[in-house]
Amino acid sequence: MRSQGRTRLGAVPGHVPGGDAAVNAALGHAGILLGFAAAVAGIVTLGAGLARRRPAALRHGQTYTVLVLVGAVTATAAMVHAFLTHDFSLAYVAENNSRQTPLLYDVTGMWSALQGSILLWGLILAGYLTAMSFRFRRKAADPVVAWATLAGLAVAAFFFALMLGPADPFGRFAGPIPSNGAGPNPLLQDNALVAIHPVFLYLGFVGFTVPFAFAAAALLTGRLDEDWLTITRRWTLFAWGCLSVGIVLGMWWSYEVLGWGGFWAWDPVENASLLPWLTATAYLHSVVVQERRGLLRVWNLSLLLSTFSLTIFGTFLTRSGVLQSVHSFSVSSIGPLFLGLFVAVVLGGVVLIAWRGGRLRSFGGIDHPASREGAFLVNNLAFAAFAFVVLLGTVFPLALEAVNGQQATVGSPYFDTMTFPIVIALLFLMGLAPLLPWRKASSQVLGKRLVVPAWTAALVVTVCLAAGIRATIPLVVFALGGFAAASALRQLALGLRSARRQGQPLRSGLLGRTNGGMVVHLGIVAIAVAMAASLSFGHRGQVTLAVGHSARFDGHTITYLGTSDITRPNRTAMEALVRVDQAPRILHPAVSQYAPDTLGISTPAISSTLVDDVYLTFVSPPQRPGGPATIGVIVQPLIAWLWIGAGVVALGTLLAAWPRRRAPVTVPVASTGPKAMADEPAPSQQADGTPSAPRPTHDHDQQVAHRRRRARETLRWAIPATVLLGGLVFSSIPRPGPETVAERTAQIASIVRCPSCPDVSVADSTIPSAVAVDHYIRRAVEKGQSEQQILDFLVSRYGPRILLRPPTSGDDVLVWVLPLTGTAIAGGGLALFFFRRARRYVAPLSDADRLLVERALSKADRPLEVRSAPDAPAPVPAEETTR
Amino acid sequence: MVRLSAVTFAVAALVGLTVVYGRLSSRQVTMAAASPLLGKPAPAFALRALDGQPITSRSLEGNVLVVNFWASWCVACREEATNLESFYQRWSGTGLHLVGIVYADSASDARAFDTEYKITFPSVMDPGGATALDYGVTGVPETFVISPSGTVVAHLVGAVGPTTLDSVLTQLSGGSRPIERQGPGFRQAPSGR
Repeated sequence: MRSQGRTRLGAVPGHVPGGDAAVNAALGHAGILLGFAAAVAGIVTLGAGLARRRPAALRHGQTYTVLVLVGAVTATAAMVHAFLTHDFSLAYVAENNSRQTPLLYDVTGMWSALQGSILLWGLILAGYLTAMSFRFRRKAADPVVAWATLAGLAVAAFFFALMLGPADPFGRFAGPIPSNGAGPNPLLQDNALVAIHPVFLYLGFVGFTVPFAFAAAALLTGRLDEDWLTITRRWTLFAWGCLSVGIVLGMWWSYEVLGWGGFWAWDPVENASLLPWLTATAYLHSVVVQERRGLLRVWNLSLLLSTFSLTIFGTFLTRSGVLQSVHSFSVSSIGPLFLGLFVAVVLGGVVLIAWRGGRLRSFGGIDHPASREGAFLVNNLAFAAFAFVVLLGTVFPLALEAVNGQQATVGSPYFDTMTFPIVIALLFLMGLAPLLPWRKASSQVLGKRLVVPAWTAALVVTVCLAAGIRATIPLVVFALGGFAAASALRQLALGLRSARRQGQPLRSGLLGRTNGGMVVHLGIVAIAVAMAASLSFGHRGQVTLAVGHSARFDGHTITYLGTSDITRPNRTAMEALVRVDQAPRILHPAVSQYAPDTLGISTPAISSTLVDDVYLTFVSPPQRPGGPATIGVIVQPLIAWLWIGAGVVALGTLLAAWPRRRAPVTVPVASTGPKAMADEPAPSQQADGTPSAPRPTHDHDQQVAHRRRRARETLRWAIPATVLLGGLVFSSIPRPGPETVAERTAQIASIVRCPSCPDVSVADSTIPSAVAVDHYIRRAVEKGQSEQQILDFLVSRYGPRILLRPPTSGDDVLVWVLPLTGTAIAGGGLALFFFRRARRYVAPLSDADRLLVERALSKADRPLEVRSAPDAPAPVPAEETTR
Repeated sequence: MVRLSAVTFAVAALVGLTVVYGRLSSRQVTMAAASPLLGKPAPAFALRALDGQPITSRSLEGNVLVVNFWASWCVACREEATNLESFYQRWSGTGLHLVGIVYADSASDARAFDTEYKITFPSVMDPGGATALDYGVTGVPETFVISPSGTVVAHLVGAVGPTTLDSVLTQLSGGSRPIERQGPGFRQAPSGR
């Protein structure tokens, strides 16, 4: 909650030297002006150079990126200096800083509101552009690089122009210079995470400008081979990694600071950061298909275009004031400008792709759904559906309100319901896809590779059932998590083995996109498991304790030891001293006040282990000194793995992007180009390419033996699959039993919005109005009222927006139906595509013949691996010549 | 053909987006929706005032009743406190009642607030926020005007200005429809989610 009722703290004597203040503003304006002028000059120079084909002009034009960076650094330095010296003659500093602000938040205050965040955007973009022109300095005369730089500079010019006009960070404070500033929002001066979360997020958002710029350049120049993909691969990975880390840091901050014990509320702004992540993740996968097979070109360009335009759209949503949330800085004059940029990017992109459509036609196609590329395609369908659901859920209430003035809330119940099946499909694919070879998987190869992952999943289900876990949702997630993790570990083991066999250091078996990607998969599995556990098994409650007394809560002992008062320059607080279990460390949940006459802000305290977190809030202080106090307790199982998983994702991204001196060259069974081979070791091919079955003969007995062997092989994965399915079916059998009042209350409370919050349910909120509604629901349940009666009453008092889940009738039904229809149509199209292809593709080989071919091919692989040296001519597969 | 339709689709979607934005930016964004209670009977309450006296809505019927939800921690409530008090002084002679309902606050802090701003109209405690729930209050301050017959005729969100309530009463006596006003002053909700 951005509590806007901040008052100035009492005046503190001291003054800002007038000269210094003028210097800050002048330096800042000069930096922004320099950045804008350099960007425009670069655009003009590059444009002229491209038009007249002058390489010298192109090289010259590249150097302007450095000037843009100098401008951005100057402006940022001026801003940081103004914050450090508390220069309240600048309106932005007066609004977001005070003399009591601790040093760290003096610096981070820079990007805590609209204007400063635009400045941060400009700085990071200038950094990326400079790095780009440095990285490609030897190719500066290449029109693709020139166009890419031009596109990047155009985006930079837009942001600097914003700072020259409607979002001027160096505007003067109207009226006499205040002796003290309002200080940053209390929630933003509490935790160091707030310092780095926006930086990572912006490194991610802004980083997508680079691949976007190159894609635009490739379209403009018509050089649409896979070159631009290869060039931007690491940039995309870096941006993706930063965005992933930024999103999880945001969750962590929300968890550590906001005091509700959750980490994700499907807040529109959270969704705005998730949207580009979803399309970018889809892109990272489908781009492999393009590199290997030259397919999906238009699709990849569209994904990249979507990713970049969604970052702009997210900024538009956040900054234009169309929605209210924790993060929105409502300044409306900037909205139309961002909307304009978004329209320009989307329209420009679509027109360019349509114009170049002819050159983007792929040759060949996907042969069979049971192949790596088939799995990637389904993965892309799932990610696209995910993004569509999130986008629709975010903008639907706005669209509905604009069209007929009706108000609705689309909250977590909607998103949870709609995205859960997609998440399950993605987890399954995550385990399956690494096992699939390119082109087409023979059932034999797949069956063999499935053994370990399938048994792992079966084992996980058995263990969970034995441990008494009966809920289907966590069981599915845990089982598929085990499946995906085993599959990723299998791939990593093969990578390490192949590195050892080739006499390379073992670490090279972890490098590269495939292996690094598997490490990322492990991190994602950890995140999924942590989320499922905390959503399904988290408990919240309150204990009221006298000093020195203990209570048991969900397996933990909570001991209340008293209170203490804290006085810091920027806040006063009352802390409760609480011991959890027998831990030596005493926890200090607090209620802090950042300015007089403002409501206290609850600061949680957390005792974290790998098994579970005990999350404490100070609900109500003792009414008399030494009296009993109420402590809120939330037990969140496994949540530490969410943050650990994010670390693993970051590590995996680094491994995937790590430059390797010598790429082990292997020839996969079917590959189209030398480039793809250089970066994509496919150890699975070498390890499993040789079927264990002996060469079949036409001898009848041997054929029977062969069939038996195949039956055995099928059983090897069919048995665990049966165990898995059986366990899941068993867990989903409804167990009749009296539903308690608490269960019914919690169930209803989870679909009612907390009246004072934009998007959190009553069940998840501890603020007074939510507690009142929760009590109302409990009393009504006790009186035997139906869910509908209770909801009807709440709507009669608060209006329809009190419901978090849009109704399944009236106009609201669209929000449910549209994603389902869209996904069904897309999935149907995909199935039809495969079906028609399969009919055209009459199987020319019997299984026995295929075995022979696979065997021959895998034999052919071996010598090449050994022979390959860095300078060895890249082998050209047969298919290449036919293109 | 496919290409053309893709471009057409993109253009249509973008035009739609612009239209939606245009309509949204002309509306006033507030968290509170129009109160569904407007024109409906006001929820009854029977609460205890800060001085211990019981006050029931039934006993106040027959005259215009103004109900103001407030808290001592709310900044906008401080802005409107003197406006409310002077309004009360002007109108209490006509039989008008003004009752404050304390929202998520302690009695001692509320009493201190009343002393500080020299408030003479009564305020009642609302244990557990049950009355605030009945009125669909999402934050403070919120003010309801209830007709002598017990119908909610106005809902004001945010701090009331020096003459806000006077003009609302004038409008209502002129036969206006129920009034929903979302004030420029912002309201506060307790922090946390």
